[in-house]
Amino acid sequence: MLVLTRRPDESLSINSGEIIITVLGVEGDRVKLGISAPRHVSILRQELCEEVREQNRVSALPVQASGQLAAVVRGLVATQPVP
Amino acid sequence: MDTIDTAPSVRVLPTEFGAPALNITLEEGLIGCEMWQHFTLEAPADTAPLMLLRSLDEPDISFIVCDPRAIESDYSLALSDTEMDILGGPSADELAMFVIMNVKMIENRTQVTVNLLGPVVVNLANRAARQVINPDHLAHHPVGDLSHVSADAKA
Repeated sequence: MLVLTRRPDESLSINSGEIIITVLGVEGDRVKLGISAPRHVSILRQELCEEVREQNRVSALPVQASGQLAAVVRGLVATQPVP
Repeated sequence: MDTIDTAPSVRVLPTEFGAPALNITLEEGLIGCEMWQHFTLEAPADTAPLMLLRSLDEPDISFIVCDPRAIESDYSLALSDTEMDILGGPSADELAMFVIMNVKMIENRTQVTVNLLGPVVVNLANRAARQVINPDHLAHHPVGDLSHVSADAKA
């Protein structure tokens, strides 16, 4: 990991300026960042990936259990109200 | 992009529920579970509208999955150009998606949630799939509770 220190209003240029990250401000323990990047570059809060990873792991079921459970749980989905 | 229906080293497991299964391949695996790439998706009549996703890489790993619109009727997902390329450039009617359900037993209650934050998108034409992030949705979107479900069902 490359570690740099920036002050508010200072920026980083990534990939010859294709992506620019600017520190917009610091308030307490929060840093406000502005990112300009081409549309095809996905920018996500890292914790979202971790949430999904965690959900994947806890949702895995033995094969025997998933069929039986699905047959029971399906009643909940079938009764979802249609707006 | 390679289209893999069943990789040569994958064991063909018996289809327990009798419905035609769809084999899909996630080139990068599920998020955080890169080793789980090859799956079979079954849609037995007795679990509808829920489906079963079974790993072909790990014999005893499976998931209950469903169409997110069965949970949230206006659920939508925008795919980036990069994601579409990775999937092999499917047309709109070649795209399908599903979300993974979590069933948690708490005492004698069964809490069911669904991961609307991380749907899996499938290109039906080449069976390539990818789990993506759909921000502003919940990883544990509540579906409901069941009480008095037998503990044996999850054992």
